[in-house]
Amino acid sequence: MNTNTLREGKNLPEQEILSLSGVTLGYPGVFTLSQINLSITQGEFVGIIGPNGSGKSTLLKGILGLIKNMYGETKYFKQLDPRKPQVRKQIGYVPQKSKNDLTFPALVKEVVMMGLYSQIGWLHQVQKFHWEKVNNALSLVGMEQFAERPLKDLSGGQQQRVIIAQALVANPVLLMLDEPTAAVDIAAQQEILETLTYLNQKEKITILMITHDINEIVHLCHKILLLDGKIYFYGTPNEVLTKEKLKTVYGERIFVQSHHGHPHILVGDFYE
Amino acid sequence: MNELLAYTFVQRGLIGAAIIGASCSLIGVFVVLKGMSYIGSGIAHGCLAGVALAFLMGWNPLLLSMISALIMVVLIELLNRNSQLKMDTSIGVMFSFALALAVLFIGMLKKYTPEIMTYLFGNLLRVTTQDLWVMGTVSLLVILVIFLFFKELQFSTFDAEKAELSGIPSGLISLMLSILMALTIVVSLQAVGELLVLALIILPASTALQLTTSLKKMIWISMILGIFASLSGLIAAFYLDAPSGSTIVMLLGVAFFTAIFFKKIKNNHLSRMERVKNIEKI
Repeated sequence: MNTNTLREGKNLPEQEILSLSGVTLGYPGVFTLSQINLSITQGEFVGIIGPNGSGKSTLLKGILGLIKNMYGETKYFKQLDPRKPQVRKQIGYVPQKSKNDLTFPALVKEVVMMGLYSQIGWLHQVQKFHWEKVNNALSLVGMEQFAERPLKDLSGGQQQRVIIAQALVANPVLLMLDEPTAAVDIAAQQEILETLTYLNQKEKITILMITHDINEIVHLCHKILLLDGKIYFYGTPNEVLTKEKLKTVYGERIFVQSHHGHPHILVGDFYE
Repeated sequence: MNELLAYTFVQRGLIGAAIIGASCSLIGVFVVLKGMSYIGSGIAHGCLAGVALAFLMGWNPLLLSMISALIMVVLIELLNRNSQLKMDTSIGVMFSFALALAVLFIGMLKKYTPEIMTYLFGNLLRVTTQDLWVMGTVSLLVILVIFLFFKELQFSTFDAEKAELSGIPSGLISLMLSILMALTIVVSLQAVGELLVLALIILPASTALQLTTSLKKMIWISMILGIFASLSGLIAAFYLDAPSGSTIVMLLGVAFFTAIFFKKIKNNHLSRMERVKNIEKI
């Protein structure tokens, strides 16, 4: 399948965008995840949750081919291997915030432009139409007025939206984010979540997002993947976020309440 | 000043100072941003072991220091990849080993060799025409590689993992940077010395980082500062009858602390303005 067609095909009828069958992966001597099978449909917003060390980041890195110790099969649009360089550079990825040096001397527009470097190619110069793409990506995250500002002058939430724009500038159909709302205040969390909702609902971008705050995403997600190494549950929020399933990974003190038709998770000693 | 310029060894020294000032401060921008300073320290110690061996065996010191610097880069990289040690530990291990070898070779020298002191403390006024050609070639190589691969260097310095995902081989870029740094250190060794070469790499770039928020401007400021400090440091050394490496680094140190001081004042002023704005809003 021509990968360029895929990039332009955001409005194609819903189809399987990513599938994992029997995926086992981890680091030398330790397999963090084993026998994961799942299928993600184009246009879905999937929340990935689980305790620390449950393999959430490992899973995303495995899909992108950053972890060599991997068995099983991953398919992008049923045919392509997302770990192949030509395919993986079409998947938007936002790593954990701490991974980026946010004091790096660069303007916001220059940071976003980096997401286009692989398309521009070695020894080629940036052209005017590349800057137009950068402006489009910045407007998708509502940051176009900050294009000329230095990255380090922005707030944590604004910086995170710039990093999301960097992942969007190459026009991906799948966006994977590793705790994008960690280490930002609640107002910035809300801004980031609103941006992601817009991208998913209006731009039809499929989103896989790791988070520790289950309640913040429960009303946004079509599906939830609950991970804890060998254990995993995958389904709609109402299917996965039950006391029985959550307590297998988070322990007995988990309590699930219904809040406007959505599950709401509490931790502590409660009496039903 | 004119009488100073009449001496050919001074002319050679000034040309050498400008070349080394430019290449060290240019490579220094990426060394500082990537946090690779300690690798530079390891490479410089590796060079000293090579130089000491060259004097012991009667071989060419430049060639031996180049070989030992490249061996050092490869060994640090291999140790880091194949052990579960952190990068600074890998460098520390190789650093100590290279220094021990250098001390051993120097100890084995049968006769007094004052030239080896040049490699420790540097002397720009002893630079030969042949040295200038080698320095010029390496500097041109550094400038050319950084100009040609600017985009890739910028992205892999900002976020190596994401650059790798988008098809830029960050590991190779990092290795290329280490090799360029090794070559720069080798050709600068005789001029500024093993002990001070790292300062010439780190200080102009660190000062420039305090003054700008753009990578391209950081490169220009760092290079101008590197060239200016090297030239004026050498002239000061001549008049003060002091070692040139020391005067150059002292000037760069003053520039760095001045930049830190002005940045602090500017930040305090900005935060005061911010507070005033907030009070006006209330």
